Amino acid sequence: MEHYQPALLRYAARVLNNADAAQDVVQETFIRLHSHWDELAQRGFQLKGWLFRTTHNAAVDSIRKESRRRLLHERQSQEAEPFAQDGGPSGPDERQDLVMRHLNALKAKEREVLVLRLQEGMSYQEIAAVIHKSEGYVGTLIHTATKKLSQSLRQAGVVS
Amino acid sequence: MKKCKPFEKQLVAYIHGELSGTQAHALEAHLQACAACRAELAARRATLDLLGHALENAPAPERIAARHRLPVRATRRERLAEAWYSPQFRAGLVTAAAFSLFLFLSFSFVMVTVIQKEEKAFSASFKTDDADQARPRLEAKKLQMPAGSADAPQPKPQLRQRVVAKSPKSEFAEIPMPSPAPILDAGMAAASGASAGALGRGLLQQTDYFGVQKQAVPEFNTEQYDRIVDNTFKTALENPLSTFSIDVDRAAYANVRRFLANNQLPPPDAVRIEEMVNYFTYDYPQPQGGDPFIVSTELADCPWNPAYQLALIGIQGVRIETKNLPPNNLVFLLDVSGSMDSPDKLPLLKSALRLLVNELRPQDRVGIVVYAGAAGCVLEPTSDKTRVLEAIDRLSAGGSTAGGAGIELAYKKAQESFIKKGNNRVILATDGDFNVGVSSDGALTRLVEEKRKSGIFLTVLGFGTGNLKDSRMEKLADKGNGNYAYIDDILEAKKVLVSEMGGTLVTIAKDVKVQVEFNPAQVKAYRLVGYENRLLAKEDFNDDTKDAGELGAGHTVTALYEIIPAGSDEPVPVAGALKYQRTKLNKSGELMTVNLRYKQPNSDVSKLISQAVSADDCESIEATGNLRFASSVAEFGLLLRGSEFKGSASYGAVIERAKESKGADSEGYRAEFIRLVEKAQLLDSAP
Repeated sequence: MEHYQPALLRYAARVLNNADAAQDVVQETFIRLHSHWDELAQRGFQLKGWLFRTTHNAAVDSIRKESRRRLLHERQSQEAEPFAQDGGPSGPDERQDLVMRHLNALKAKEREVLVLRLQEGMSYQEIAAVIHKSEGYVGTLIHTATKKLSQSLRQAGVVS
Repeated sequence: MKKCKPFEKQLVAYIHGELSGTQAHALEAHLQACAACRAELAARRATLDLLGHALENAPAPERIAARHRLPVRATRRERLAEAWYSPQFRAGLVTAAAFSLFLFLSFSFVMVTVIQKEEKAFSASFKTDDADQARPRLEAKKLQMPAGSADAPQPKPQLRQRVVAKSPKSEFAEIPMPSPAPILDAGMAAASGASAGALGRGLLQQTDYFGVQKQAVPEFNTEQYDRIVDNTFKTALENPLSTFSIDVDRAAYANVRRFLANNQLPPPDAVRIEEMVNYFTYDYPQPQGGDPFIVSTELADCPWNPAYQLALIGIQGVRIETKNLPPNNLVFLLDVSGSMDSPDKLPLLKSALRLLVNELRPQDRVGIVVYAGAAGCVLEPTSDKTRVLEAIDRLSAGGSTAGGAGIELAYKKAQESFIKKGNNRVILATDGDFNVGVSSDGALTRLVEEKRKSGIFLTVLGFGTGNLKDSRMEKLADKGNGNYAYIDDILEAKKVLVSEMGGTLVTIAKDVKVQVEFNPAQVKAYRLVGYENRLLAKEDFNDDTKDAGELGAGHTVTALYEIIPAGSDEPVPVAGALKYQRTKLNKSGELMTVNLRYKQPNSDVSKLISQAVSADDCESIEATGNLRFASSVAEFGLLLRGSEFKGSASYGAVIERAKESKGADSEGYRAEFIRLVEKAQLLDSAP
């Protein structure tokens, strides 16, 4: 179980774009696992799938709560984090930072499917089970997310 | 442009191998015709590659850091309290309230439920008397609610928290955990069950926030490795069967050596322990009679954990003199794209090929297909060595890669000059960067799988650094009834293509599967060291349609098991006791039985070999030459991977055991190993 902790944290941190909130969310997942342990063990369940699904749920809750608060911060944050447009990316680290910044500009649900695919190596089917959607929906979401990211990276001159 | 739309939507799914065969074929046909979509495919692939790499290196918390939690929350609260007095926030509240009202009217039922829920949680978060100590979930709400409930801010508790927030951060390390956390701790501890301890430890472990130290990456690097998760201990009672496919690849060792030569520790996922162990040949008995191979076993105390034993299973393939090898029909498929234009790639590849060609006999045939912007045949299969060497000399790098079309053409040429009862093989040499055209992993593997049926085998030679697609190349070779070697210098080329040409190029047994049955009366639990991506389901063992690894002439394959003997007090993970079944154990002194299934290269029906190992065979590690050296390589692998099973493993012990068991080492590989370990030791201890 501890084995999944880093993966869940990575996942949550990327989806929420916030390392602190990610820790809360994963903690919540482990607490849920703990309080439902007997029930789950009896029913028989896939630990990995269950953990990611529950983290997803907790993250959605967290985003919903945060979004109210964010209403008022939104204007400031948009002004506060402009993309560095001057010059191009020069070093590998900057390039990676740039990619991450553009990733974070996507919607949370778009980030989520990309992270589950690229970081956790899940199939569309597995992702669909985590986010409670159909496989077709996952395919479309990954398509739009990649397309957006590809376009913004092209504008930034990272991808030709 | 209009007709591109449906295809454009499939590009990403295609890259991810998520299209059905028909869809993929239709898309590939369209791609052949449509340059715009090809460009788009390349851009999306590049985007995904970049993103995958950025994600890998992006910092993320490794553990939930307990001490980090409170100050952060207080800070948030502080912000919130400040916001409460700001006009924007009040305006925001009005908006939010209006929005809620709207929602309330539209979805009254849903909202009622939600509000009730929130109220319940909210009251629980402040009336400590009502808190139910036995339900950690509510306790957690207590931690979380104030931060999240922006719609109902309570000035009083927030102000109190502000005081907490103002104490300097460093103090939190010293002072006892402020109130809510210990309650959580108590709740966790009070709850019973085996998971509680582990859970609590995980939650409250005091690690640095962002505990991961980012590995220094000297240059932009897009090498790809599949994640490896160490095999865990399995109890012999519940999982008596351990099944895996043999792996004769050695690429991981050469790759690890390359990293160390550059004064870098390899990434853990590049360290496939079984490939490191199998890089070396061991002194196993030779097969007698008509058998293609022989199995031998050794058992000793486990060097990195005194409570365990270590079992070795060694398979020795029959050696075939070069002159007795069947005629070769080799088609080289060479990557001459721009990415190969580097001294450690195409020039090294050319020297390596010259070595191999010089070994060939009159009955052998060689053809060359290159691929870059477009695939082309530069040499029709021929037995004329001079022409082959000339063709090799003319090769030069340029253009981008279209691996898919190249593979098609190479298999076609091999088919045209097919030698019955010969060794028909495509040898793919590349840095693995197929970045244009038909190159989704899924489509490529399907293609190779399809070609496998025609009796043409595949050898993959990996070259170069910085862009090596290790995961893809291993997968290709795996699916194509072939093997994968990584060539980092001309000596390695000589080893793979000349000294071990038989092993690399001639298959003596295919689909070789190993199934070990452990005797629960003697074995409490076992763990297979390495072979993580070669595991098979136990049912696959007797299923002749399931593909597995190939054994080359003269090859040795070695597998190691860590064994916890029955009667040991070592804790092992056990599922709940069964209610309806009782296992009656056979009173046998046998530790395990090793079962092997293999097929002759030209047959589709497997044969079975069985061999039992007695528990009395356990020797001291000093007595077992093969196991002693193999265990030192495995221990080195555990250290490089930072494995949770490394026990008391140390570089010092690895070096000592390797030195003692170096043997004759006529080719110097073992001496080189010792130097590598010494280097890794220095790199690992450096700050």
